[in-house]
Amino acid sequence: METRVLFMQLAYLVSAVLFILGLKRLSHPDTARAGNRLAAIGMLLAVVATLVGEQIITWQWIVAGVLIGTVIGGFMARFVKMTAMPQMVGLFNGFGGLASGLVAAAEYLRYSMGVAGTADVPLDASISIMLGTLIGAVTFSGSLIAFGKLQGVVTEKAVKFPGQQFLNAVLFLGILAVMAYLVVMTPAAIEGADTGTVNIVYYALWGAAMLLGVLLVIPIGGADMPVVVSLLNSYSGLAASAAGFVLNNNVLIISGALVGASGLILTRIMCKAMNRSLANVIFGSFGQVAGKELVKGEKRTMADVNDVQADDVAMLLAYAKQVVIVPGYGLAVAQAQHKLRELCDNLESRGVNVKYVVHPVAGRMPGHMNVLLAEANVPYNQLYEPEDVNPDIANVDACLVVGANDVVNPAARDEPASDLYGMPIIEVDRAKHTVVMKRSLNPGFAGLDNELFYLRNTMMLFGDAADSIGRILEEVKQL
Amino acid sequence: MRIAVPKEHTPLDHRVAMTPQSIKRLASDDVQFVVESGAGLGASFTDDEYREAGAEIVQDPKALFEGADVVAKINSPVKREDGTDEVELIPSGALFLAQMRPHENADALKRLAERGVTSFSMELMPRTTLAQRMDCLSAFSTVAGYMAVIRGAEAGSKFFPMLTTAAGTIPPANVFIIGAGVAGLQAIATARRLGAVVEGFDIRPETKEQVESLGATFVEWEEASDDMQTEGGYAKEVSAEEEEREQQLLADHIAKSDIVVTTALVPGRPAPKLISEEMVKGMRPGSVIVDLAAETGGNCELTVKGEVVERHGVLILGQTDLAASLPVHGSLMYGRIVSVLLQHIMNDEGKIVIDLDEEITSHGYARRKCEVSAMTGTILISVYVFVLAMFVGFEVITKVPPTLHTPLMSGSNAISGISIVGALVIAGMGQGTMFDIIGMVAVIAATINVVGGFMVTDRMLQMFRRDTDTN
Repeated sequence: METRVLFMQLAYLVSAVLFILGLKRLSHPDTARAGNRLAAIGMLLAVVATLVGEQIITWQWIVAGVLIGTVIGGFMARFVKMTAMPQMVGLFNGFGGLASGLVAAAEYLRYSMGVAGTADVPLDASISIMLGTLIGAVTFSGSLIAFGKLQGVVTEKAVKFPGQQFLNAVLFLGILAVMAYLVVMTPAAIEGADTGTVNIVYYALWGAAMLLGVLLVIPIGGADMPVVVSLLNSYSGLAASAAGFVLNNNVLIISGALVGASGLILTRIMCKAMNRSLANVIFGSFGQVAGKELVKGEKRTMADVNDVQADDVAMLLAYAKQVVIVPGYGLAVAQAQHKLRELCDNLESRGVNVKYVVHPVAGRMPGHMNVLLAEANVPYNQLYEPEDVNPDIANVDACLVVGANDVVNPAARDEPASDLYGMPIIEVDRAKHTVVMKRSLNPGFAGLDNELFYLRNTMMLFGDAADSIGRILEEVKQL
Repeated sequence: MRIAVPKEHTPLDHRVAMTPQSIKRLASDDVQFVVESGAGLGASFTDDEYREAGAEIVQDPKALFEGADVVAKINSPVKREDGTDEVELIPSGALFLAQMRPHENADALKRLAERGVTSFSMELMPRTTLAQRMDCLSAFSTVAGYMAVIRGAEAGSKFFPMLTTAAGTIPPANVFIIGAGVAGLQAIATARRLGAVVEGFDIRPETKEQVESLGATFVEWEEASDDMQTEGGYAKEVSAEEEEREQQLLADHIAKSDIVVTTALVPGRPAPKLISEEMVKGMRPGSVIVDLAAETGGNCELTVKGEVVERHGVLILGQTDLAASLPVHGSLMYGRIVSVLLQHIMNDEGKIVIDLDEEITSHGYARRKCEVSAMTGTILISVYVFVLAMFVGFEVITKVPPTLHTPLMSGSNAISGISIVGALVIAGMGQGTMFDIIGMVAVIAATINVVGGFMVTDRMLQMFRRDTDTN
């Protein structure tokens, strides 16, 4: 192997490792920034390695392209408003998909225009080209629509019309058929030196794939766009992988697959945090708030709640700025106050601001919670009343509801028909995230179902409170 | 047209692709031969004989290959002792004739194809009447079958024929030939001529007649089916069950044989294991097994490729040079075959015309076949890489605090801008304006993704600070 090719391959390997380490670190708050930089170094290395190792004949296009891209990308990244970040990511993602698609297109045209100098289009190459084109084009147009929706250029509302799913399915099948046609017919067309038709069909494939990308994203409401962007990000990884298959380039395959897979996992995690299933996302029936889809009075089950584990909760709490604890009768039953105190102390030592909010009617006797918390030596200055916390509760990163139920039931605020209507509550449903620790979904003292449990930002941690807190504590200590 | 005949640089192979005789058949004003000096010496053809036949003798390998339209060799390209690589020497646009063995030489084939060399696999001839005159596999199998018995006789400790002498009567040797292809039949014939009692065996019942026609006994196996021949006339690979029954039958016959010659080959696959260690143990000490399938793993479990070993008192010959022995006649046959083939694919003006719709040419036309097999290897590795990377991707992220969802998405999005690598390759290929423009647009798009992605991520993460960070 030539030295520079050897260098290129080794550099690619290092790049791939840096990407893996970068992603790993990006998923942890303390190391995220370093992770991002590692990945950026990996990218730089991959680019340099390519320029050294590949037989670059013309430089002017590369230099021009890199300069223009750097200026545009840097400008957009530098001056975008923080609130506009999600759509910016969507837009960047679209460009990535476009690049992958164009790589596939260039390879296709190289064959079909006879530049490659052979009619032997290997089957794997032509299949990779078709997949790269499809995924790249879908990612490109889909991301543009996602960007438009978040930016307000395209309507944020879910655009739905009858037969939409059917149309998408037909379009998708049609695209597959066109891809198969091109795989079969292109070599013959090259041999016969008559590639006019296949070229036109190939351009049509681009058009159809872009249309599919648009159709897949328009029925989705603006609120769900981040999930869509994440999913499209996963697609653009796969598009890069397909480009890697086309060019027989391992770093493309590896990094693309990495992003494809981790993007999918991240999408799933994001769905879970929104109390949605991935299938729900992929098949596009989303766009409305999950909780509101349910008919009033309908019996809801475990399937409707976002059931989490102690480690999820630990992650949420440990990296929050503001945590609110809402103790209830369940805390007393489980005698979990000491453990709760220990957990909160630990969180405070990590820099988390912890407030205990005691509802006047929490527990089975007046002052029940105070007795418990005093026993665990919780300082009085950490105890708050609902009206102290409610106005700012939207800024609370995490509410931990320990065995309380009626005192956090939004029906008391929203449902005039409810027996609880009018009772002041701790409005944990308005916080960014709420974790409810409970033994089951059974109603509380008032015998009423609690809407809170089914909301998208609510996580349910089932089990005995002392047990659960103990497990969360263990997990937090390990972070 | 210029036809180059290099010296073979494969150890133990003294053959040459063209002999003075075969050159004489073809040489004309239109067809010139260039022969590397000393190419025929191993087969006892001198440079002078080549000159007489009308060939030009060249010392320098570079000058030999330069400008050649056809390069004729016996073996696939090798690295020479002086470090030059024959793949690099064969000029672009040339036709390369040799026993390419595409399955083993996928890499060399691919490189040749990349250099614009058309490779032709001499051993892939169809087994038809017309093509028989161009079938070098049959020719070398004949050599191998003959030599197998000669080597076996030499290694064995017995006479072959029955001899009634004053010093007592010598019983004839028992020779068992497994596989009745070209090599097997030649082995039967040779062993018979030396006076041995010969048994032949093949899973294809229709070979019975051929075996018996040479004076050997056909070892029969009742349930042998008549569907054991492939389209190309080779024995099919048999199923595990059939193999077991076959082995039962073989064991008895092997045990009473002095010399066993195995010739069972399945094209493109490892040789079937017909003789187990148990069967070897059942043989008398001093017996000999000659394994003609040693190159592809051997028909005997104990065969060591390229070596002679003694196991349980039995000598097992695993040498792989049998087809290459008898260089004089091997070369004569091969040279003849090459000249007939060249006549077949040359038009009246002495130009080579490759017609892929024609059976003989399409069989040997190895470039196409081998591009497929070479690519299959690459794509498989790529799929490995892809799947493993997917798994890493699935594992690398497990728990992510909600605050990090967007930055992580943004960071991995920047990584997916790796398509910049592909864009750079396209933009740098210099294949014409259209590709330059596509490449540049791709580079711009990918660079925006990469630069913007990493910068936005960094900005987001900068904002993400916990209270402890300020303390």
